[in-house]
Amino acid sequence: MPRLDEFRKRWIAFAALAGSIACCLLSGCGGAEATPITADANQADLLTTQFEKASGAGAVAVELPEPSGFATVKGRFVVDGTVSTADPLTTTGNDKAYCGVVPDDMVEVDADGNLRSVLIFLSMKIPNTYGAWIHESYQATETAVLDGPNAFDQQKCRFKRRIFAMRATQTVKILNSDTVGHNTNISGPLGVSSINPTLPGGSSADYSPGGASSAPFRIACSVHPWMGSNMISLDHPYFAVTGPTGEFEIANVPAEVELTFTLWHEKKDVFKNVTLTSDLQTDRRGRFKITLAQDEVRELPVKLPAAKFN
Amino acid sequence: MRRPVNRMNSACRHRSWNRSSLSAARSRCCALGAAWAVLVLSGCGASPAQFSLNLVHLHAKDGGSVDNATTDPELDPAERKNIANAIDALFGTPDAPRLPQAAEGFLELSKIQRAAGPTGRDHPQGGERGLYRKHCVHCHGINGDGAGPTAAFLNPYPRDYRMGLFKFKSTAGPKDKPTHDDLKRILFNGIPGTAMPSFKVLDDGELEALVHYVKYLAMRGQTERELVASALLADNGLFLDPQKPDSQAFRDNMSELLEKLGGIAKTWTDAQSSEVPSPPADWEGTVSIERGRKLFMTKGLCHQCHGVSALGDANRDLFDSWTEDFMLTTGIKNYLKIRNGNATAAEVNLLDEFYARGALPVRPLTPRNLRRGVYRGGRRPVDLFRRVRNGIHPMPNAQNNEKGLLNDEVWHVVAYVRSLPFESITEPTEEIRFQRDLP
Repeated sequence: MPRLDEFRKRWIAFAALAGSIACCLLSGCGGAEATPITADANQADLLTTQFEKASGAGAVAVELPEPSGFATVKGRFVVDGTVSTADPLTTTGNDKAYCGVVPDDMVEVDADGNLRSVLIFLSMKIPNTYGAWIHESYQATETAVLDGPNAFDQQKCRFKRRIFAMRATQTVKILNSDTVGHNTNISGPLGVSSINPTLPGGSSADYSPGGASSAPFRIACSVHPWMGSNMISLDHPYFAVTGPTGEFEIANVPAEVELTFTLWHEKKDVFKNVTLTSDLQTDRRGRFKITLAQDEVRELPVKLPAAKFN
Repeated sequence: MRRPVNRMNSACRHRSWNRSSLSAARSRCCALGAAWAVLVLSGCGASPAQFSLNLVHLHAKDGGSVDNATTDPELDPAERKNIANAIDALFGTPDAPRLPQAAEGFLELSKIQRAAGPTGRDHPQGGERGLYRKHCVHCHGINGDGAGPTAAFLNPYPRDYRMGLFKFKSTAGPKDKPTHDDLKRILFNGIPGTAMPSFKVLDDGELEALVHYVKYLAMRGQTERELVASALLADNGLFLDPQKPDSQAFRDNMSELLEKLGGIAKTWTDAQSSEVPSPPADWEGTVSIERGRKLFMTKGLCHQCHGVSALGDANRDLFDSWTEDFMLTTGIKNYLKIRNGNATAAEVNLLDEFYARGALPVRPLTPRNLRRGVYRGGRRPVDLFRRVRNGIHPMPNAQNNEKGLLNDEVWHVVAYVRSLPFESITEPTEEIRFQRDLP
């Protein structure tokens, strides 16, 4: 009898242990999984009431002060120090002989440290009308077709620009200057058109965004998966992208009102909490606020430590 | 032969309450108590079903990066919780769904309610309720994330509705929504070559309820993604703080949200099937098939992925949009390294972070082997025409526009594709013929 009791005790202990392990595994205790984030019913109810009120009232217009005149923002982005050279991109069998070695040009800095492919754009909602907020000089290009040197092109199995900025109302020619075929997969966010045309060598297609995006979106080629670029479509003309000299200029920017600009580079976090000039600092999202006097030409000579890119 | 159970019963009947039997009883009680405690703590008690935020997307947009492994999330726990609250306020829970006003033009709450909630046979209109949980949830998950309990065992993985993207549809644009009938056709026919079965056994009311519920989950998921984007751009305190409904920040955020809800709803109401012209007179004749073959190898660029033999063996370095959604935004860009297992330690660690948040193991895409004659988007000529003409989005398949294939040329490619399962693979030596035919 004592042996039987001992057996029972051990059996019960074993069963309890096995049951506990089974329950833990079944209930998801078996791995280092992130905790689900679920709603708080009381807080959600409060928001429900607000949503119902707001839906009935319709969209609320954003109130802005009126600008007075226009000004200019210009500058140059320079990298302080040496940026390590990236390895060429790994290419696949498709058109390997034609494409050759494809350099990784995400971070392009010349011998003087000038940084290419920096995007600066006004990132606030402004009235989309000519006059006080949008200078008349921009009316001529509102619906322009961006072609020739302003087109979006691809050559030697890479996109010629890492970031392409345009107005939502414009049209851009998507060129294929290669003799091999590509497809250009432009994946716009909500409200912005997406296309993915097949482009045999030497052909082109037109792209019109039709809407504005709040941040750059991705362009890719499926035939050559290493190819990547970015695009932004804006409902105003206040943007610029730095070329090989690292310079930019945005003319006829609204003056005497606080403006919010965003700085962007494909390398993540380059403009997070950066001191631009003694009185200008970006926030964690690469934004800075600036108020320009009428007819002022504000220079922004920005120096970035090489560590941001290495 | 004496059975062990009798011996045990006998032992119990004749047992006296001595110290060892008390000890055994105590052990049993403890074990039972422990088991109950584990059951209760592990949530085996029936708690109401809940939606959870898309943690994979959240990590991709906020925190996850191979460039900077120590990046702290910008949205603190209160902000993340409030996104969940806002989604709940707009769309309700799996047991008690709600609809934002913007969705009322294309979604019917009564149908969604029939598909939602626990299963039962007491639906007010007769028949079953809880259809999604009965038929779909084990693959597509309670959130519509395509990550239900069986998902990891399936290839391809079940659809994640939350990006609002669908592959097999009659609409033309890459991100165009499917029509209501497109979704219903998939439910009715299933998807050949995948684990998606046909639900022909359901009656029309049940199919309608499920189609509405899929659209509801898609809109809910897409709204959540837009809320995360807005919260990351907001710089004015807690995003949509319910305690401060009169603040300018709340009004601005609310205005933006309503605009986005309207935008998402419009993508559903705008969904229209693309026109399909009649095939040319000689379609599917010998000449047509031969023209299709040449176009397949040249202008159409089909061979770049499907291969000159059409076995789907040319380009296996691609991932679908659901995978790219978290890989590309965080800097995992080198497809070949992932495929070949040569990813850097930072990339491997980041992938593990996504897996811990519910992402299914990354799988490269395999272009379709066209010689098998299995077509997931439908085998009718009209289906194949749309696949070639419009592409399969959000997969890498490109659209053939006026610079690519013309409509008649698309039909010839369809003719060639339809002939492939019947063509001898050893006879043509396609690669040699292809090189010879090149201009």
